[in-house]
Amino acid sequence: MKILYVIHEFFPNHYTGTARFALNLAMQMQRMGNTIKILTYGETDDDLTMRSGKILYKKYFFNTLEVWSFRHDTMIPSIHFDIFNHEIESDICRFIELEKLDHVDMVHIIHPLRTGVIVQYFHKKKIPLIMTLTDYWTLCPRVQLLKPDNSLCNGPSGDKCSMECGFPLKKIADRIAASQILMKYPQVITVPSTLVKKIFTLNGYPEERFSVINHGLDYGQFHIMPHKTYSPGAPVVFGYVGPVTPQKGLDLLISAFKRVPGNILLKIYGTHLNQNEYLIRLKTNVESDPRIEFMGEYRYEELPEIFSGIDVEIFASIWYETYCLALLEGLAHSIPIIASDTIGSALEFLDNQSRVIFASRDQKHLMDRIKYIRDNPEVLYEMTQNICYPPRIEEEAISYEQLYWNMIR
Amino acid sequence: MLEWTGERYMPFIDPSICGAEIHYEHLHRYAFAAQYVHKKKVLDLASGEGFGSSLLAKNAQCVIGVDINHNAILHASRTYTQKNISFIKGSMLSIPIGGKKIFDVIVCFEALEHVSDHEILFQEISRLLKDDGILIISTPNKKTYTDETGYQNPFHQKELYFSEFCNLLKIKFHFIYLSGQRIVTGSSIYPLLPQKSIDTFSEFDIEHTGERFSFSENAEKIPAYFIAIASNSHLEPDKIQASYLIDLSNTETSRLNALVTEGNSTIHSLNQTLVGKDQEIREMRSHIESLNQTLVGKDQEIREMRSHIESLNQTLVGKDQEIREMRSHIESLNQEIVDRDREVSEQTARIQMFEQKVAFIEGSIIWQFTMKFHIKIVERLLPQQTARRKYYDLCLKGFRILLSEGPSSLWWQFKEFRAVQKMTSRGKKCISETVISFPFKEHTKSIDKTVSVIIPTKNAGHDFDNALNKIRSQRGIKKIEIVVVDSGSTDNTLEIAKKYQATIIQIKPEEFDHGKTRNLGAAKSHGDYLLFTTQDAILAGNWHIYRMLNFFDNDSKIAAVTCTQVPRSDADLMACYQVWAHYCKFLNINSDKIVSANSLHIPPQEKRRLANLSDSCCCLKRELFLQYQYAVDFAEDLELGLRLLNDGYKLGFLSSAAIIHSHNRNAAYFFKANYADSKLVSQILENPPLPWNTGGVRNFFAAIRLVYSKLCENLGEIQNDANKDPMIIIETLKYQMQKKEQNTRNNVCTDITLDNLFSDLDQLLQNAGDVNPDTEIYRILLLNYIHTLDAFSEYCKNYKTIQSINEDFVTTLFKLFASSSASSLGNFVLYLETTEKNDNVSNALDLFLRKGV
Repeated sequence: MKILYVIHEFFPNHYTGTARFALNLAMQMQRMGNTIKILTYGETDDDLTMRSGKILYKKYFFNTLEVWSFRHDTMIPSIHFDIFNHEIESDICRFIELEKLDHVDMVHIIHPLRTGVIVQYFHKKKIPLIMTLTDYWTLCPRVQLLKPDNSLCNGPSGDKCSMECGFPLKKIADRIAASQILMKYPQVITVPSTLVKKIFTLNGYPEERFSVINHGLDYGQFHIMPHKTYSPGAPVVFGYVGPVTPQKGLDLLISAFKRVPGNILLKIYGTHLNQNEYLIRLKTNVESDPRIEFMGEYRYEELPEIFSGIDVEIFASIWYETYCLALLEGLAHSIPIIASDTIGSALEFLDNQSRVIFASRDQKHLMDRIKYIRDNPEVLYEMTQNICYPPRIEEEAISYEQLYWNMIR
Repeated sequence: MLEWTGERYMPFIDPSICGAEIHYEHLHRYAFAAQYVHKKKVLDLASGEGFGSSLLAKNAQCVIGVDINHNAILHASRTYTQKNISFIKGSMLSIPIGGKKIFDVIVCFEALEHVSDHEILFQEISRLLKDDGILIISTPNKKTYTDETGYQNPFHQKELYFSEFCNLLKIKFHFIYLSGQRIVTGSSIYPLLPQKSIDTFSEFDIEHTGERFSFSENAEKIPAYFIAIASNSHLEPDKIQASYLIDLSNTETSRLNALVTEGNSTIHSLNQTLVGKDQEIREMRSHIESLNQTLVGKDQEIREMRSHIESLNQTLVGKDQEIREMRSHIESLNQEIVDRDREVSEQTARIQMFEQKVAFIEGSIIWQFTMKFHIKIVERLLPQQTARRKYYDLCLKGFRILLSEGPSSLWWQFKEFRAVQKMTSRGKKCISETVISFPFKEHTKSIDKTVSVIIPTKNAGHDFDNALNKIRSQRGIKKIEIVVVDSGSTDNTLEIAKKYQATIIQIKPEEFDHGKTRNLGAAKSHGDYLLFTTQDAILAGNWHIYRMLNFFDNDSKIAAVTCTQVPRSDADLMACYQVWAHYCKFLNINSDKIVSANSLHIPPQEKRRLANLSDSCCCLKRELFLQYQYAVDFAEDLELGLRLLNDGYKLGFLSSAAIIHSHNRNAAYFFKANYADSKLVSQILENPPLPWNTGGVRNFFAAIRLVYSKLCENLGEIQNDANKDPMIIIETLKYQMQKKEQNTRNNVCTDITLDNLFSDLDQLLQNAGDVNPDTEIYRILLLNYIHTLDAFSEYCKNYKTIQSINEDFVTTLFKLFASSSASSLGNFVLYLETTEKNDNVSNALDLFLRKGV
């Protein structure tokens, strides 16, 4: 099968979660015998030597993948906002046809940002089209359904987006209309979790439009550690491994943790992703509590070692987190998890009735969870024994390949 | 009607235009003068509008008004028509009245300053005034009228100070009584009832100095106008009184009040404007503040921009370094291009040589005769797509084999061809494959069955936990039982098995047998269904077993269901290729299907394709399995599939369910595994070995070594072509391998595992390396490898570059060689065994290669 993956950004210049998802899926599809090409918007590429009208482009290889990168010759400010960039539509079509990128059996849109006209093009060409929504960009220009004051938003409306987030009323109305058109183009829309499906359904899209395919993890580098046993009163090491950003609710986690006395530790691994002020504020906040330690940046291959020093991991995200791969990496290493109820993968893989889910932004609820583990560390062993490992990237690829075949047939 | 110009007073002008003060002044002056004209002849100089003359005429005997303005005279004559009054046009300086000493009283109000030659005026007055007559004259006080106000009346030609006025009067008159006139603000106390008039009056002067009024005594009252009564006869001072004019209508006060009201209104509106302006000022201040804040922000931005520019400069330095490195790289690439150009030249020369040969051949009589024969006879008598053409082509192919490979090769290839022909035609009638559309929805009703998962283990490794965890995560099945048959694990395999509450059966390592071990597990199980899997196979998805069990419902004759496989994410290139080649290409499991066979008299490869159950994931009904069981130690799953098909059962192959299963093995393992597979599977499939016509196993092995050494030489040359398309590398390798001349390359690439294995085999085969290789075997091995490369290249089309997997790619080419050469070796040893030509050496080789697979 010949598959074209379309994504708004890709390796090696961009290594976001969505780019990693695309890379993992494409590589696995290639291993399974499919011919793969990747078409991406090279926003920061400065060595695009070929031209088609107003766009520049180039071909390069990443790992064993053939990648085509393009971008506007002169960047326009609304590139991150607009659903369709009609000003480059004809140039994109010419470029795709010139480089034979339309000679494929299947087109999979990994993220429609900056690639809306490509979706439109392949829809017109009647090539089977599938789109994955890894975030809420099609609903919300701020992507995360968070207002400027970090309060939650359930979805867009012209007035609300204008008043609360400062977008011009007409522009936001046009965007909502364009987004609804975009969402009609793919035959299948996949989402990584039921939570995302629910959010889109609440915003008026029919439930049957969405298929849930969980993201998978690359278990190749994971080594599951022998399970520990815990005796009553034993010290418990809580951990957080992931980006240190406000949306991850680390201020809430630290506040809750500081209010729970006892023989417990909190280790925070990760970097601030250009939000250094937030990290500084957190560090200032924990100065008085030596039980909390910032461990700094980590590398993917260090995960087994990191998890060997953590008894239970906590995720306190304050937004409708679409999936959260970091949480699953903990589970894949047999680490019990405590997580807020706005995390897609938490709702997917943690038992909602158990003592591990807490109400997002509810500090007292989180403190109760921490206290419970502190007072009953022996339950960690049982929790570890009962963990169901999250899916692998091979499983994700199998699901997609079956979906592709069904669509082609 | 006269117009108001400001030059002369007019009593009818609205005070709102000119103020009431002027009315008060003029009216008062004439009223004052009227006291002195009773029954007298009066001359009113500069009579103007005429109102004054008229007022004087009420008491006087007669009044003559003189004015220089024609319109004024006309207006006065028409307006004031008393009998004792007349108006004459003329100048004060040349009064048009003849005679002397005519008038008792001459009135000249506010006219003196309108002329500059005052002496002439006074001469004219003296001419016409009787000797005892009186002059009543007024003029503005220059000090207050002009000096203090700065106002310049354009009609005034010469104004006078008090002293100047006095001096002027003294020239002509002996008796002078001087008064001052000014508009005052004050209070009047006057009788209200008819009573004797009060001839005298009391005057109180007040003055507003600073904060309050206070009474002033002896204060100077500076007049605005001077009024003089002058005469050369004695004036009676008692008859000259101070005079007051009272405006009963309070015009000036009303006017001033109106002005005040208007002023207040203006002030009010100005105040409102002021409030607005204040608000504007506040907003402006706020705006200025925000601008200041913006300015601070902009300053910060500028600092950040500077910092960013600095970092960009640093990046620039880095980029410069990169450019230098790139240049260096380009230079090396240019060098490589030169090398490649040389190679292209060599190849071009070779092509030219071949073209010359072709031209030579085409020019030969034999070729021309052959072509004529072919076109005129073969094409006419044996056209394409006909049976006779097919037989002709076969004969031609046979003839070529005879010439190039010899009669023996022709014979066994002919035999194989016949066998395949027979079986294929028969097989087409025997085989049935039904593609099933097998829609699946989660959360359907749970299957009320128990499934026993049978897993043989030995030092299963860390993936075992993953495999068992995925089995435990399965949904839609009433109960899943895990049965582990362990043959001597020394790691934590059993501990992991216990974690998942597996039934553990332990056997000795030497007791392990692929078939019997699984039979043992099945015997100890309790499920309705058995699922055979391996310790490193991971079920994909949580509905995998549910789907397999569900598939049995499609047909009651389905005895076993197996599924497709996908490589692990850490699989190497060879592992990926193997999975793809077997499941996608050979078994063609791209859809869910049910297969059956009326008869197994079909080609061996077709048999294998139909019956290839896989123990990595194979589900069977337990009762049925216990009847059949596994019967052999190797390829036991295939053997069971054949028996089931033979007995009329059907097999299910699922693409909608898959397992994640692949192995990264080295080339030596592939050599051994393919040896065993070739030999043993041929036996199971009842596929007789090829009729090898060769000396012995040592010669065969020497031929393998020869192909290997040639491969090492060529791979040594191409292993650095990492940037090349893998298809080009494969084609180049094929070309180089088929060249007859030996290469003399300096770069030699070897596979350490094959080196070690071949070294062991050398010893085992008593220095087989010293034996001359069988050229026929060498040629067949080479052809087999080329065919293997062709098959591999179909998979490799998916890879446009091998830059990141160069080492893996080269290793794969060794593994493919190991696979193809070992398959031939296995077939050869099988041939020796079936023809009873085997000896101790071949038996030892067989034992050695089958060990540990």
